[in-house]
Formats: sequence, C-alpha cells, structure tokens
Amino acid sequence: MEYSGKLPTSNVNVSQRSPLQELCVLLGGLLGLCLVFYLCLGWAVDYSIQHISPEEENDLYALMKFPTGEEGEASDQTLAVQSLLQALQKCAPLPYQVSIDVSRSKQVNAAAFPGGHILIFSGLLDQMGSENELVFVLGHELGHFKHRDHLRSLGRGLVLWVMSLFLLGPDNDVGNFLFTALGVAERTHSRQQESAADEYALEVLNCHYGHVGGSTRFFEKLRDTNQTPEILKYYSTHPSDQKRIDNLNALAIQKNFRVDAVKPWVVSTK
Amino acid sequence: MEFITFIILMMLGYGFGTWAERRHYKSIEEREMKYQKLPTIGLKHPLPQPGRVVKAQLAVGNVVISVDYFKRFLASLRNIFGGRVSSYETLVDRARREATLRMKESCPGATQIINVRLETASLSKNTRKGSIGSIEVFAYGTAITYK
Repeated sequence: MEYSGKLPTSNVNVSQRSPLQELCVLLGGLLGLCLVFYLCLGWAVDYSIQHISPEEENDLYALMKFPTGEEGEASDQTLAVQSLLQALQKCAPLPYQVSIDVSRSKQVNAAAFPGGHILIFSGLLDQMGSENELVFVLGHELGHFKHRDHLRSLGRGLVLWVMSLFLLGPDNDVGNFLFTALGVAERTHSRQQESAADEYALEVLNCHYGHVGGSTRFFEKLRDTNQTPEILKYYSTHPSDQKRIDNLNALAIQKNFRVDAVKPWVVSTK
Repeated sequence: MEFITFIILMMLGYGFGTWAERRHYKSIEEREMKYQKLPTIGLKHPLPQPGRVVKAQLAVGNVVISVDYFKRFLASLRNIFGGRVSSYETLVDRARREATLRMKESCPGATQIINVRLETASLSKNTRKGSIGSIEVFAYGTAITYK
C-alpha cells in the first residue's frame, strides 16, 4: 500500500461561531442575572434597614472602621459646630444621639455614618460664608439620617461587594467590570437621596431661623468654582449644583419660605 | 478609569489576537501543504517502504502559544455558565499543528516519522491578574530516512 497524504478540507476542531456574538450573549446573560440578584437584595436591604435600631447602628459603627475626626482636645471650631448641631436637634427630631466630628482635611465634604455620627471636613467649614450655610449642610446630613440613607448606601455597597466576591472571587476581571457597570446605575439612586436630603435641610433651616436665607449660597460657590463637563454629570453622585439651586428656590417659593439676611460665621480654627 | 482600561485591553486583545490568529493559520496551511508528503504516524513500526533505512533520528517540535486578553475574558465568562470554551479551541488547534509542523521541519529529507506523540502543558495554571495563560505543545517521534 502506498501512502498518499491528503489534507482535510475543513477544520472541525474549531467553532465557526463569531467570538463577538458569544461575548454579547454571555455578558448580557451575566449582567441580567446580576441585576436581578442585585435588585432583589437591594429591596431586602431597604426592607431590613427599617428594623435596625439606633443602638444596633452604634454597634455597627463600633464594628466597622469609619474615619474619625481630629484626636485630642476639641478646637473652638469643633465646639462651635457641636453646639450648633445641638441647637438644631429641636428642629430635626431624630431617634439618634447625633454627634459631630471635624476632620482636618482640605476636602469639601461631609458624611453621615451609622449611629448618628457626622464627620465634617474642615475644608467645608472654611468655605462657609455664614452660619445659615452651615446649618443647611448640617440639616442635609440630618436628612440622610432621617431617610436612613446612610444605612441604605452601606447595605447596597455591601451587597455589591459580597456578590462580586462570591460569584467571581477577589480581584477578578469580570468582577471589576461588573462593579463599575452597576456602580453607575447605583448613583442615580443616591442622587434622589441627595435631593430629598436637600429638602429636609431647607425645612430645618426655616425652622431654626424662621427664614431660608443662605440655603443656596454654598452651591452657588461650588458652581462657580467647579465646572464639571455635562457628560460627567451622570457619573457624579450628587445632582449638579445648578439643579440643586433651582430645586431649592422652587421649593422655597412653593412653601412660602421667607429669605432674610444671614448670620455671619466666624470661628477661629485654633 | 478602570473601565476605560478594560475596554482598551479588550479591543487590543480582539484586534491583535484575530490578526495574529489569521496570520498563523495561513502559515500553518501553507506549510502543511508543503509537508503533506511526509507521513507522521503513531505506529511503532514504519510503513512498508522499498529500500533500506539509512538514518533514524529523534525528531522534536515544540511551541508555546499565549492567549489574548479578549479570549481570556471570554473563557472566564464561559467558566460561569459552562459549555464549549470555543475561544480556547483555536489556541489548542494551532499549537498542535504548529508543533507537528516544527517536528517535520526539524528533519529535512526524512521519509516518514513514526511513533509520534504529543504532550500538552499549560504554562500558568492560575489566570489571575498579571499572569499569562499560555499553552505548550511538544511533539516528538522517530524520523526514518530510506534510500
């Protein structure tokens, strides 16, 4: 028998299906599944946070490592902010023993942590042109406590993190991708929360001073210094500054709130 | 930022991966055509052939092929749902054929290669970030030259 070599006409060992098509099917399926899981767990979070007592929140605060304010003796600025917050609690009855810390940082921000703990950065305090502006910021954080947003975002973040960890393991390509993709949708949720907290802050401001002067001053400053391109706004957690100003003005008119002169805020940082 | 890096890596992986694969297949097909008269068989005894054996030598061919970012991502998605990992099929197919071709090329003038075996090894078992998923295929046999 003589050998005569012959090559096969087609390659049966390789699928002819387009890899791009496969990618779309798999990725679509996975994203869909994750979204369903995430929404279900998100609802579970929303439901369960109503049943967490302030004491349990305090335990949670002690358990998790949240950033704290300055160490040692409190400065005049910290004491002034603390007494202002005490005075505000009459206008914002909450089931919490609300406390505030000042962190020495250039960041212009404030945060609400479980158990009624507020952390305010000195960068934000330096921006305050009047006491009314500060009361608005504090009212905003109290609004987060009122609507339990601090627990909600914590719970949802936890859900996302645990899901990615269980499904894909730590530091996985697919996990990181999903994290970014779902994170964008999550921020809309938090933008609604911000607007609700703004409304609450306006009520607190009106209750404390009898008028709402200075409520939009801080956002106007932010708007003038920080020009975010329109395209990036979808990715930012807070609604755009102009939108917030418009909302607040509309609300003040709707509720017949007066606008009067503001009280100056001058406290030395030493 | 991470997302943009990911998209760029995926596009690079797909673009260059497809280009390299197409080029490789073209080369494989041309060389297979060229060497198709040289039989490679798994039997321990040569095919009946007129003449006498003048030379018998070890013939080896070895190749390492790496997977691209796009294929690896697709395979890790496949890992979740199960099924044919078609993105790795071309990788293994190319590696086997290339190793066999290199083995043939290592013994010019041979009449046939007998007792051919293929060994496969994966060079990095964990495809964590930073490590490379590649496959090694090693082909070996006994090249016999008749006169």
